[in-house]
Amino acid sequence: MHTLPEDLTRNSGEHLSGLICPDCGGNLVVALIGDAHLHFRCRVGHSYALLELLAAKEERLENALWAAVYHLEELSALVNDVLPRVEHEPSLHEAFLRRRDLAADLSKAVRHLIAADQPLGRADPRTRPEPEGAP
Amino acid sequence: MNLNAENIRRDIVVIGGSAGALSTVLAIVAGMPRDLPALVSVVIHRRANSEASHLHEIVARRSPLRVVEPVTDESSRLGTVYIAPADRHLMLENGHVRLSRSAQEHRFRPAIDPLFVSASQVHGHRVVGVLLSGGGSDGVLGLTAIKAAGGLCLVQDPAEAPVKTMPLNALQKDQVDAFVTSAELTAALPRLVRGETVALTPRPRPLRSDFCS
Repeated sequence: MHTLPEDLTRNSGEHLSGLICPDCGGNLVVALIGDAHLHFRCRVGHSYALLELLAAKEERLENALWAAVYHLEELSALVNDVLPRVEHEPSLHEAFLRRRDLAADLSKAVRHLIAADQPLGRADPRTRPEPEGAP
Repeated sequence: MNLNAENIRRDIVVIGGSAGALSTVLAIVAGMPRDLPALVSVVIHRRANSEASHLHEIVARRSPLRVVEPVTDESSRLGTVYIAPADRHLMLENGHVRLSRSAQEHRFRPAIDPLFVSASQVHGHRVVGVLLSGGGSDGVLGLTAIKAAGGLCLVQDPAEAPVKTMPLNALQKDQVDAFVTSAELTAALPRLVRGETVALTPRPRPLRSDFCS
């Protein structure tokens, strides 16, 4: 599936993209303005230049990974807390223990992925403000 | 090179900036004489909860012109500087400044494009758009609209801007009339408002590659 339409030509108006808006989930349309400027806009009016869209997508990706960490850690803790309730059933108890430990291991792995990830557009020397009072 | 050789009164001044733009905004408003018949509108990117940033007071302290941070739509008056409030786009309509919580643009509200585009639609060739220091691409589309409507587009010299991305993004396009230092802007704007021609020393247009290692 293509993210950008193949017939995207200079100043030919807005085309439907294969992308969703990082802020509301709506369809994004894209226009090529001038020679190089890709401009994205969704139905409700969220609007991005290419690098801004990439930064927003990177942010959504990190949020999704943290959501995965949260669900794994919550699941592991929940399974752990209900262990006493399944003690009378050894096979179930064993399955609960395995799930608790695997979920905990996976959450550690995703935390490592987040720590090792290198999103685009971070610590760009061109965008680093010099010490002056930014509002 | 000569700016505004047509001697059109560019009395609708729209200014956009982000990180690093405040000192230039202050210099510009401080250089506008009290009797200047200009409608000046300013968007500086700010957070939704930045009401307590005292932006209005900071600008008002330096400005001979009346400074207003609108809380609601109001009639616009020449001789006034309108500051976009936190969490609202500031737009110009016929005889009014309008506030809107419409969707964030470039992940900002207020954003620069809605001000520039609305100004170009209502005031056409009377508009002079000024894009200052900052990151991202907000304002680039707005300048395109201003230019297409016959207005004048000025961008802060990237060599001087604390954050160069936004000026560089604008300069990549062909709709910019000149790139200027803070001092040149401060001197030029009151004269453009009065319809005078401003002579600038020509120098080569900076490229993105000049600022990247």
